[in-house]
Amino acid sequence: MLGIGGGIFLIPILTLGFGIDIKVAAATSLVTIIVTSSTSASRCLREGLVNINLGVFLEFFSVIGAITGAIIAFYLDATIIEIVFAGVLVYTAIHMWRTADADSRVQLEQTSNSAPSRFRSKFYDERSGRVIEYDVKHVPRGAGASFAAGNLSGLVGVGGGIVNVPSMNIWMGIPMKAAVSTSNFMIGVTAVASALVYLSNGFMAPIIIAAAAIGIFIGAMLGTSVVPKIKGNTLRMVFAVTIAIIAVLMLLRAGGWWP
Amino acid sequence: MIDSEKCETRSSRILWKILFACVIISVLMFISGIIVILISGTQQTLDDQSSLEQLSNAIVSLSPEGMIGIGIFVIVSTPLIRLLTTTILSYSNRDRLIMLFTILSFVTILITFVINIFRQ
Repeated sequence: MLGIGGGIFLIPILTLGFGIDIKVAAATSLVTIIVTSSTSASRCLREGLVNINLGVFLEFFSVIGAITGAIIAFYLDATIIEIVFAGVLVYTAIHMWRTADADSRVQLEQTSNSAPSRFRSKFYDERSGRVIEYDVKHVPRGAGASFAAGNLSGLVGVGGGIVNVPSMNIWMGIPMKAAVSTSNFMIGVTAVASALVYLSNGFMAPIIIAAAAIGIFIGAMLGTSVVPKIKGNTLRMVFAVTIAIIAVLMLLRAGGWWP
Repeated sequence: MIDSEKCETRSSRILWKILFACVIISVLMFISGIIVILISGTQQTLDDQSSLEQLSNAIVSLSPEGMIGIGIFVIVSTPLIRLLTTTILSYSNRDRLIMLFTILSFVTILITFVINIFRQ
């Protein structure tokens, strides 16, 4: 529902809850992100929410970033990776808490008369009962954000949606539903780029991957059908608080004060 | 003259079916593999790691780990299949820019994978 792959929860659960090595957890996360992405994106594509052209364009930069991040990750200490990940969680928590009215701001800005880009698109919004047309702004900045999202994916084993969604929504002026859907569409390709690097280096635990993937699939199916009925503001706040708590636990673990 | 709206709808329809089919196949393989492991009582720890070579051997021998390996292979291939499909669709839509970026993504991923394999 939020355009992220779930690695943001899965990695702390595997490392804190099961004592799994962070790199094995990252590899597991990346594979299960592909499950999340493919499941969610299939539904979003069916509803016409995905900006396919924009997604394909941005995911190239994500792929480059992911490969770079995955290579760097092998030379970094696990503690450093955990600290970076905790920092990302804090950023995401603050951002989710503060973006309750992001969609309203985006729709107010769509009345400008700038020339349409090649990524202009539209979708039918079931909730409001109308067709939402939008254009895409600041494409080069979005490409840079996608590279950063990919880098993060390769470094800590998340999908990059936590960077993609805010950059598409706030910088590029894309309505939240389209940003989330397009991010779902992209993160599978982003994840596979770094997943192949991790897997070819032997960080693969098949049983963990299988068990996590089954759970993730069920969750993604339920999420795409049930969560749209929940108020976005409420969900954002719960999400922000939850990942803030996880960030604190990760920092405690990195500092050796948590097993 | 190609109707771009109609083509996008057609693209979405083809892509979602492919994505969903691949996910279903891989999840079924995961479920099958775990059920067989549980029934057979094979000694496995949660974080037993496998190299690509070990997983390939397991797939060939159709062991429970091999069934899980097939699921991993299918799900990891899904984005690549999606990229290939998008390339074909953008070619039929005569959208050269999108076709170019799709091919670049696909080739970059493959080259990286091959380099990593040869580094082992």
